Amino acid sequence: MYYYKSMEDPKDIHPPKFAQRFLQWFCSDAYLESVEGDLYEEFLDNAEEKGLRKAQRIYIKTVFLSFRLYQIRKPQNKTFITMAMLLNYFKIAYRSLLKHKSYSIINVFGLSFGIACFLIISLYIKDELAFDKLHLEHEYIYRVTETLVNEKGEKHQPSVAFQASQRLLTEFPEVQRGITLFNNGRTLASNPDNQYSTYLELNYTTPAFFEIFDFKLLSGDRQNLLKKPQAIVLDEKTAIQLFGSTDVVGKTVHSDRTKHPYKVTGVMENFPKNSHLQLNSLISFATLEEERFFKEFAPVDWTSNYFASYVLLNRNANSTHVEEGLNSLAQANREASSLKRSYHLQPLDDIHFGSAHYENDYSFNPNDINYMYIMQVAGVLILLIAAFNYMNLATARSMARSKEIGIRKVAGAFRSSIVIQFLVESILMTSICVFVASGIVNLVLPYFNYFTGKEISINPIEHIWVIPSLFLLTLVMGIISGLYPAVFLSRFQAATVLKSAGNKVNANMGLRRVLVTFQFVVSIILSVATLVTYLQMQYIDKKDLGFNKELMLVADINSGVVRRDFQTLKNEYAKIPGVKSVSVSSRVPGEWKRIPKTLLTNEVQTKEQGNEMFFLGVDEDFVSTFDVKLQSGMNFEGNTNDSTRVLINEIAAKLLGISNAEGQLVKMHYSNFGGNIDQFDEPLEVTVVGIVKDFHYRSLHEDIAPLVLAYRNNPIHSIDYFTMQINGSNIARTLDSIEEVLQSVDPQHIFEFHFLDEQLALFYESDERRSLIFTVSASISVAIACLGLIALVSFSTRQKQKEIGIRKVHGASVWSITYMLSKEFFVLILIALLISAPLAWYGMGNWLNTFAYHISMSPLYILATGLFMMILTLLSVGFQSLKAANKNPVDTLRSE
Amino acid sequence: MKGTYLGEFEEIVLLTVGVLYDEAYGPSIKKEVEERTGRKVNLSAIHATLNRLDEKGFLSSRLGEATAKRGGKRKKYFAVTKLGVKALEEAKNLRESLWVSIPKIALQGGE
Repeated sequence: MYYYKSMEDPKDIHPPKFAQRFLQWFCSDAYLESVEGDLYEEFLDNAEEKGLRKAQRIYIKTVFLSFRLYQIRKPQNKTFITMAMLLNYFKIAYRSLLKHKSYSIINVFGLSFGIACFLIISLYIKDELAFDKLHLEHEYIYRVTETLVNEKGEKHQPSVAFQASQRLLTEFPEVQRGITLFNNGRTLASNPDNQYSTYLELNYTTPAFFEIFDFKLLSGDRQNLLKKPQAIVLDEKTAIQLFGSTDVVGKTVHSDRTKHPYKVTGVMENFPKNSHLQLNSLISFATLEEERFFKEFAPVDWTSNYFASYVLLNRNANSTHVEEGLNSLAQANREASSLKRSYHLQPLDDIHFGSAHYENDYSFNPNDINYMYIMQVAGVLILLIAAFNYMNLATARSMARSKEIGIRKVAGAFRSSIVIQFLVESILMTSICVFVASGIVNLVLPYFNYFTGKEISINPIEHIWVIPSLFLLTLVMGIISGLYPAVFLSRFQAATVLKSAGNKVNANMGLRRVLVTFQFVVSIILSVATLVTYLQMQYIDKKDLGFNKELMLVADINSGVVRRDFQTLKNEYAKIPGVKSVSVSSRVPGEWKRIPKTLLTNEVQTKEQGNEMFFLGVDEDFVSTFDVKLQSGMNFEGNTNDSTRVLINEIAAKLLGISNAEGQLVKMHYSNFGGNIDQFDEPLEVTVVGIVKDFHYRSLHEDIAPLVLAYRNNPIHSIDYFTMQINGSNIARTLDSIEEVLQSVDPQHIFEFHFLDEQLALFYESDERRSLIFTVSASISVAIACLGLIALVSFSTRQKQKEIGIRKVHGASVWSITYMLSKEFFVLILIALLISAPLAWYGMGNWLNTFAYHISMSPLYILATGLFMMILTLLSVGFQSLKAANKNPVDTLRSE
Repeated sequence: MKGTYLGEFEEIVLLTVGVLYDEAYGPSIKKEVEERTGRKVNLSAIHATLNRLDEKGFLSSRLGEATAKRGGKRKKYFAVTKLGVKALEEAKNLRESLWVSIPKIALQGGE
């Protein structure tokens, strides 16, 4: 220790610089000298006695303690800003805005669009995150779900057996309230005078529904809505459809599914769009309890997945504990089975983002949280691009304003007041832009809502958070974009700035280059994303699905009358001139409802190792109407024998070891309707008469799975749809004729139809939405980046006017000058391309992998985007450069 | 009067300034206080107290010579003012009158 001390060079013995500076900063001049001296003296003593390190530590401690004591405070008049000065800053900012119109327009345009884009993305995400949060106690509400595991894999069900739902209420003190919700399909309903009719979803639920959930009521007594049998609560829309009014409490609703009419006990508001529950009516559970099947079934039901169940737990309850209790209760009541089943409590807050794996969920529009992150990042990046643009332009313009700063400094302005001046300027700019952006958002939101099916608004009267958050955004954006230019500009030395006309302030070139590169990295990534999503959507649209989807009209079968009389209707439909062919089937490809499955076996595929296959009930015209290709064998013949025949697809044939359809016998063992397995007493023996080529009857996100096409007359699934191939001409008349035919058989029936291609497009709705958001974000970021480039180049050419003039006088060509001015930006774009390529490659590759059928990621996409950027740069930079290069050197050199 | 109140540490510093007569400046006061009381004192506390005493009018100050040891900074010497002396006397008198008033028995200690 001592040895080291003696080795120290006396020059090295000094108190820590920063502490000294800190002292100088806060200590008033009146005390500074003596205090500094005292501290220094003590420091030297200490250094000698206790060593340099310790002395320095004591010095720092003393400085900070002095500060804490506030005894030698500096009068703070240096940065004191009066109201008058602030007003003056506003005035200067306003004048400079007006004076440099093109600069201001570019800035306002870029910033406003950037902010608008960010706002819309944020609103979208905010709305998504607010899903199901409208209920006061949403944090304590859980949905009971079940996971079923066997050798073939896992299945997740969002609903449970009746007993599970029921016993939660009676045997768990943690459960404060609970409800059971049962969906029993839908029915045609009408008012007593048969004036109006509509389809009702038959959802039975227990009275606590309106105690757990805070859905708003328009009329009715919240406590007693669903107590008595036959009570029904309608939503606003259905009430109007049925009665033409919402003042309908006490009126009756009739339907062909019930003997007694329902009595309306209340009307609720339409379910908000950001609720995972979307129901048009609720019927009292007591109604269901009166039915015989329920009386027999419910007391012993520990295995079905028919009953959605929601519970409200006590605040301090442990959901895992309830889960465990429910599972052991179920185990005690269930027969042993190879199927492993376990119940879970899924928090209500997790349903929206955590339900993709559930089969046939009630959930409305489940989403993936990862997309929210991606979008938020995109939003922030765009905001940054816009802010960087401002920074870039403001620093580039430092030339123009250096004199102003010099004069201010000479007149006695402190550096801090110049920083504040420029911050005021950038905050003024951003507040204008936030204002413009809110206008843009207001204009765009209706379209955005229409496209995304949301109800977003930024009306400050409805949402008080709008004003403070916009205010905060303005402040943050103003500071982000203004701080660097402010610090940079305030650094100018008055003397240097005022002395030389041609300033040499280009120390900021490095930063400017980084910012431009960053802008292009973001722009390129977003553009690649746009291109790839667009191409994938095109691919989906154009892909041969293995069946015809164009001009296919699908009409629902919604009543027993129609189902029984389908042959008459089919014949009548076929006679309509616009209809080319008609088929009936249980499901249609692309239908968004669950398709049942069955277990199909033969010698090769035995029951033990057998695969479940999807099941379609079709008629003899299915193959021709849908234009599905027969690979071998034959079609149905349209006679009663067909009930014992099936067609299978190629994958099913491979699994069953059938290469040529020659009447092989196969057995069907059960029907599996969304997890509810109905075992046949005797396996159903049928003959494979034909193999159809694989066709994509589900979304292209999924692989083609094995499929059995049985005859329409089968014990698994009855017919539900007519599908008609129609003529492209005069579709309206064809539709009228179809409706007329339907009305002649079932006058109450509402004609419900859709076009197959539109239905298929629903599979990709969320992909399309994302694609739109990418496209808009990319366009805006590219536009902002290009605007920034144009402005940068115009500044740098102005700066180099003389140089250009001199070069021209010496015989430089226009092209060489253009090249000189723009080559830097090409290099930057090249660098940006190198940085963004791997990111875009990885990100988009991942997205494409969510499709079982997708285009493959190609370097070409990135190259094409790069080329596109190059061309844009050429256009924005080249034009400016060319203009500068073409100027007569006489004009530029003469001015001094 | 609130402004003339003399705290315990203030009193010690003020007395020390008197003790050091003509040689009272930051570090010397600190050293003296530490030696006499046996406590560790930070220089900042001395500065703060000197300041307070100065504001109250108990101390006067003058700037002295600059030495190399002080990095070329001048010393600030303190001296006790008349007002300061009066405050010290008051404090002393108060104590003495209290001492006198204590019954002998109380000074023998409890128990």
